[in-house]
Amino acid sequence: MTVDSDLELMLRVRSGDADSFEVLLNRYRAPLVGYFSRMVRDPALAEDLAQEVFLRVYRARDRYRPNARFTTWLYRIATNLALNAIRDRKGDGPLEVESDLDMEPAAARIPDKKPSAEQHLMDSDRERLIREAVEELPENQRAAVILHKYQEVDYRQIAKVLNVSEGAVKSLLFRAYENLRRRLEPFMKGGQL
Amino acid sequence: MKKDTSCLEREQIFYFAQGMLEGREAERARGHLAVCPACIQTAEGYQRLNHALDSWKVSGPSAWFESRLQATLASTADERRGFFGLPWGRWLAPASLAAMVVFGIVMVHAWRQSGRYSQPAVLTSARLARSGQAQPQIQSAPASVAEGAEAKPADEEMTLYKNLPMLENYDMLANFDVLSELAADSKAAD
Repeated sequence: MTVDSDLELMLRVRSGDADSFEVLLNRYRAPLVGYFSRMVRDPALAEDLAQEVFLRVYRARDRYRPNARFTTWLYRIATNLALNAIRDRKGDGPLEVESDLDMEPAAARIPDKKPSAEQHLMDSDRERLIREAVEELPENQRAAVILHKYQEVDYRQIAKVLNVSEGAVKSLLFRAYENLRRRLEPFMKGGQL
Repeated sequence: MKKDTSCLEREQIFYFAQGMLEGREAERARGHLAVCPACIQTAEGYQRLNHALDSWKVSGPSAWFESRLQATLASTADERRGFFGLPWGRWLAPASLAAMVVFGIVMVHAWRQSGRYSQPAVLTSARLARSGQAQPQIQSAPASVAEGAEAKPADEEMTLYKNLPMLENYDMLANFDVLSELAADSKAAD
């Protein structure tokens, strides 16, 4: 069975094939919710924003031109929405901090491992340190790191998503990782990470 | 040719560790890292950081994500279906509404215009009579009035028009004392 490319699927969506949209939805639902969860942290808002991306893709299907990768288009819409949401929330005071109970720990998602309470706390603590370090990054650096590290988007594609040059993205990523290294190095040396 | 043995810049090590270097630059970085413990340590530092970042996990979409999205998409499809099921109907609906409003305004305006010209015909004739230009108008007016109705004698018509200035004297008509005096006179006569 051949896997249809995003582009082929989107062209079929443009000609009115609802099933192809469903395939795209299944393919990018989890990555998009994950992207927004890291960008805005609030899980409910992350879902709303992911829904908005799919809605915009669906509404703009008639205007879709296959001159760029589908994911570039998708993440460009997503990044614009995420950055707007971050800016909107800046005026509302500090971000809502999730408690450790709200956050599903990494190990809890692996069914064959039964983490102890101590392991659970360590995982939560590790996640919190990283989350806070990434959240301290300037908006563009944060978007670049999350796209590069967690969404596995190539730096050339990130350049198209953020509408900057490839050199600018490389420099942006270097500065972002340097900021993260400076912030997290003490914890890495202390064995917490 | 002398071999370049100077240490790599931190930025170059980062780009190499992230696979962002190509061609000759990548070759140079690879060659230097094979012999330079200090630069290897820097590269390993980036690898450790990369590994540490892996531990940030997030939850996936909720179970109702798709049903919510499908509901929203269905409502979007209804909106797009538009006016009378026509694909371009969503443009037609406001246009037809605007056309109806304009038509209504024109009709009201036309009705007002027709009312203004037909209703005060007598008053207009009276004004013309006062200004001395009434004669030709007066002669044509009874003809139109007489159509389908009983024709009035010409002298009666003339009397009516002569009395029009007096009938238009609203101050006199408003003075009902004259009428009450008439009533008192008739009682005294009885």
